[in-house]
Amino acid sequence: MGNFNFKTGKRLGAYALALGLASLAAGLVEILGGYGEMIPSDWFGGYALVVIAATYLNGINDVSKGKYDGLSFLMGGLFLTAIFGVLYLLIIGADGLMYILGEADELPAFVDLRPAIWIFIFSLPLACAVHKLTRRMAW
Amino acid sequence: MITAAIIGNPNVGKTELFNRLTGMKQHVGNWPGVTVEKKIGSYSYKGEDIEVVDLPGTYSLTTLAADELISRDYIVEEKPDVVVDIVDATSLERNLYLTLLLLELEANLVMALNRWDLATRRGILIETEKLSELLGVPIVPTIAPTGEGIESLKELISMAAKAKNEKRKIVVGYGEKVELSIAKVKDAFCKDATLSNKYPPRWLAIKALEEDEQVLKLIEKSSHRAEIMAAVR
Amino acid sequence: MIDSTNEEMAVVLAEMRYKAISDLLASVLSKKGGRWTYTDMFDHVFLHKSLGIPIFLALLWAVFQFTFSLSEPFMAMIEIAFGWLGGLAEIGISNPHIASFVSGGIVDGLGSVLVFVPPIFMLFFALSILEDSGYLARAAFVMDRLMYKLGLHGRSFIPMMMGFGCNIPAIMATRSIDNEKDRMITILVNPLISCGARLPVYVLIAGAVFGAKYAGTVIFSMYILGIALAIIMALIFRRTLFKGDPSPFVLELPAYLVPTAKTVIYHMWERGKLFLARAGTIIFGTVIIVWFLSTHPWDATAGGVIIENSYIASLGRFLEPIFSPFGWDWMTAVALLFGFLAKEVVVGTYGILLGVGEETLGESLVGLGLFTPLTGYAFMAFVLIYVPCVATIGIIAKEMHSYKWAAFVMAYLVVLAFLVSGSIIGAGRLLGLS
Repeated sequence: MGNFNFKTGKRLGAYALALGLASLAAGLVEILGGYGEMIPSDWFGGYALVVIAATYLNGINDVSKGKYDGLSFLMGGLFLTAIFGVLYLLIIGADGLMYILGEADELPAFVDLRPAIWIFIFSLPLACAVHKLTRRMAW
Repeated sequence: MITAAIIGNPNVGKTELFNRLTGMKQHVGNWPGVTVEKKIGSYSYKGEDIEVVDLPGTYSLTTLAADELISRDYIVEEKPDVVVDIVDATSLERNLYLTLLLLELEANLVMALNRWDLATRRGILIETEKLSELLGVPIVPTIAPTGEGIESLKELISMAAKAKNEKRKIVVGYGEKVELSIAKVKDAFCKDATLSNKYPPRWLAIKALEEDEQVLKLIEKSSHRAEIMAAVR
Repeated sequence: MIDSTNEEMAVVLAEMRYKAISDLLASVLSKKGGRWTYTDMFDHVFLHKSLGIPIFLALLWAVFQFTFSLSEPFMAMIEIAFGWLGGLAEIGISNPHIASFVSGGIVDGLGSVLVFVPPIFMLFFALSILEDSGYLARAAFVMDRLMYKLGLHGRSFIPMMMGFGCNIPAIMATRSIDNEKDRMITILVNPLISCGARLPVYVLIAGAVFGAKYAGTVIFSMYILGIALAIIMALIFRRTLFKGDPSPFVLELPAYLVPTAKTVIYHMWERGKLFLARAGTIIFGTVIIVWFLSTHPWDATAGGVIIENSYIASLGRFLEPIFSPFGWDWMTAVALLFGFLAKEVVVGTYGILLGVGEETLGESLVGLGLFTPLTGYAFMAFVLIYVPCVATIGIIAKEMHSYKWAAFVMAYLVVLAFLVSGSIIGAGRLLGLS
């Protein structure tokens, strides 16, 4: 099937590699009990990060060669990253609401921004780049 | 009056096309003995009334599932003038299986290649004329949501109904070995005039070889039971 | 004569048809430039042979995290409203019978169930997004691929997924399975899929004994336990009651869509209104019975204050020995008994028996020491398995055309419930938990 410019592919691949490794590291730390205030201990949350990492890493080889096969894994990974990023942001919103209702003792703070949220934020430039390549695609 | 039956795989836009054809003129009942909805509608084309029956969406025509059996019985027993096969242009490979089974049944087929727009957008190019020639079936591309192709489909239905008796015989070859067995069983079936007049003999032969429950029952009742069974074995 | 049996003949003929089709297509079909579509791209990932199932599980976990964490503030709001109503009823209504009925029956009983409207609607909202986007069909596909390898029927998983909403439409959806044996197996194991009515019990118990931080994980584990048990039981039935090979399957995979807010909300409402209708009918009716039994004889209980003297306590004490090995008391026994009518009633029963006052229901459960994490977890598993609700039993009898099968379902589920909960308790005690 069709290819795209492989210079672009190399760039996308490098960025996805960074995101994938970051997710993998954060996921493993969450599974193994968390670290400090920023990374909570959360088995399934960590599991989800590892799955996201696996999805990114699966596509790197092909995407670097400019193949759409690889790009699809980047899209899948970006999609999952967005799901979890938005989910955790919503949860922070809900925690804020709990504070307003007087059911929680403190407002959520900066340290409550879980790794998945950071990865989501850092994935946005990649999402734009992938979107540029795929925007004329049909459903 | 012309009777036309609409058939197709599930989720190919069959109901939408049925509504496009018949407009508001339809009524809903149940198929006898089962809780599967039966929809009948009608329209008129160039002064002629056409009654349309919406058959359940199926992938094949075995006796295993209730809705498949309904569709098959209707085509075999009621013999509608025209059978409209709705095919999803975006997944021809899976959809054509049913088409081949309908051809085996020697139904008077007209094919609507639905979701034509989606197929085009996905870069799928289908040479309809060639496909029509190879299958011996008139074909029209349709887009159910916009109603594109509906008028041509109506025309093809009326034309097919008139050309009913000059049916083109196109068969799918099953390879030498299998064809030999089919021919043998078919010959045995042809000796039973009542059976072979009512059902297409080649279809009977194929189904007998597939050990189709219903056809086996027909054989039980046949006066040439022993001969047919001998040929099947 | 050909040298194969006739059963293989059907397969040979089908293969020949597919060969004829591919020959046909070779001459009439072309794909210009091999254009990818979004559907191709996503399917490449979501149907991937090793990533497919892990991704499905991750998304399922997201669904429950969404359901549990986001509904918390809304549940708190409803709790506050009902607490205020109850207080009002106690002061404002002079007739003691009516006051007890309103504050004990309606507010504590029905109210404690209605608190779960937010999580149930959120779950249905998330499921509707998965369904409308076209992902649910993919999830069914990857799970079916696994099931097929295990010797189970494909196409079973769509009905199973629908079971997350309610088992009744799920069991009706098994009509799409052509093979009768495959269909029977799918019906028999469907009650093991956690429906929306079990969610209130999970949320209540998990929130109470594990705390908000771990509740999402614990609830998710219940859903996974249900799926795992369904697969195990299906395998057992396939090997024993319904021997044979599963029939091959074709599954329609529609193109992905960005779901619209309108259809998602519509689908959420379609499912959710069933819950509201149940709250107004069977749940309300059962709650009245429970309230009556807990406040009578009126004089002996001093108008429902001393529940220990009520009819329901006698009933509970009678049943208690069955459950005491698990560390559950008489209240749990009656909650399970009435939960047979509708699982939400388990929560409603606790609401009436414990009352919802200053403390939330969850806090009272823990405060009274009714559950430790171990016995609470075993209780959740028991509620998941023990019997489907009355309506589900009815639909099973109808769809299988036999009351014997319905009785069989109840019997095997009760046995399984005791086995699983017993093993959880046993394993926990071996590990030194209480």
